[in-house]
Amino acid sequence: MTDRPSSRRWLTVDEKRKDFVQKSQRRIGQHNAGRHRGGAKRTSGRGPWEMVLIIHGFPSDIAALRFEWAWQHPHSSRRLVHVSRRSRKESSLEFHWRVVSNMLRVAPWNRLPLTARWLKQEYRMDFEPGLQPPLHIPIAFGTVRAKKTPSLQCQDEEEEEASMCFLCEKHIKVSEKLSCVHPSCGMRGHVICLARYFLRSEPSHLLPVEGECPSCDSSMLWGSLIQHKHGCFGDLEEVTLSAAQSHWADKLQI
Amino acid sequence: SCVSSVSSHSKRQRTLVPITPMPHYSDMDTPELKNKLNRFGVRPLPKRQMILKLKEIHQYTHQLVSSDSEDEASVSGATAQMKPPASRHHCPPSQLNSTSLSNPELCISSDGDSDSDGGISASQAASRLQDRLKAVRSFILSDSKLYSQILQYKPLVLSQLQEQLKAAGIRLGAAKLMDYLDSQCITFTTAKPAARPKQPSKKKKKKKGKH
Repeated sequence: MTDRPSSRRWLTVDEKRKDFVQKSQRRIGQHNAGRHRGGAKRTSGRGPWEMVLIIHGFPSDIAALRFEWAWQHPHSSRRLVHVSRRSRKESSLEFHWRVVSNMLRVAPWNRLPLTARWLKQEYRMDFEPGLQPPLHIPIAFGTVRAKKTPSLQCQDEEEEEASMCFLCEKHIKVSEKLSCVHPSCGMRGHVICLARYFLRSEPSHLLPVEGECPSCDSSMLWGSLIQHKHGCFGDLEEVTLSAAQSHWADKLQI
Repeated sequence: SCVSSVSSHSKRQRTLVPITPMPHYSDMDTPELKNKLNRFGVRPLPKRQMILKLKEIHQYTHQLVSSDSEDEASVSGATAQMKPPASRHHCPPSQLNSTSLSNPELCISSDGDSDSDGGISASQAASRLQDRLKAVRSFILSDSKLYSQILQYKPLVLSQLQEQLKAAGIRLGAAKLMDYLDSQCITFTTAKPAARPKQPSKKKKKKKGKH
């Protein structure tokens, strides 16, 4: 049997799922093992598979699943009718990179706090000139793992205190409270007050993308404020390559 | 069945195709319509919509020329067999499967809102739509609980939102509402939480039918 070059596999990720990496690692193992061991029909008999590129930062499972479906079925998706079919010159990875480049630029995804991350540097590709992602979407490199310890609930101590909204100066219920992501900044505000503040420059939109703290003026993503509120800020942590060798990523080595 | 021929002056190659006349969907009863739609993998709809959909499907699957042909206008000598309807959507029949109506990623068919009843011009319809969308936006902004939910990226249940809008006197079909929510990057789900008891499952697979 001839040596097959590694095929590629990519997954979308929901940041709230703490064990996503373990799950996807298990799935990769299943895919590689073939259909009889729980791998999907499509991946059975092809491979071996390795995770190359992930899109993460979805604020809900539903959003991640929909994105995943559209990425895998671009020609059935009503949001991607402008994306042409794979040309003969295009490799599978090139095509999927083109599709995802398009996806990040259109609604309903172009205002979500997503990150495109290349896990394997050797496969990394640049965005085509006309397909740059929205400015708030970073491109990251390197492997990640789920944080084992849950993030500290830094807002706990404040729940007792009465908080006043920096913008409207009225009392804030805990359920409606946002805090500046910088620990040293004491800005607190209503979700809606801050949203209106962030949307000053985009009056026709309902969902903010980014803005500046009204108190310390630092720039931040709306998604970061919400993640900070829900205590899942930084569910993913980067690992250096050397750490990865002795970590779960090692099991993915082909 | 009857056979039609087309003018041969177009450059495209034409073939003679036997065309089955359209069944009388309007005379069928609801179970029969459901059955017929089921063969295309389309779930049961209100009766009127089922009739429209079956007619659409029949026209699409019995056309003389391909739907994207520019030569349609030059076809002469055709029988009463009609061209595919000017589509509000671009779904070829292969897209009509059971997930198509609940997956916002697939084409959404006409939802029979009153704009389609005719009698108004396209610009009037567009302006009416814009008014309704503005009303939806205002509704969201005025409902703090709802707006806060959206701002925290929590998915909306589409049917619930539709009911709320209806109660507020805002009439907008599901398709247009979904388009608007998409344009605002607002996540929604078409799953009905009350109706479907959750099946316990170990793995979270793609929920194609729910979004």
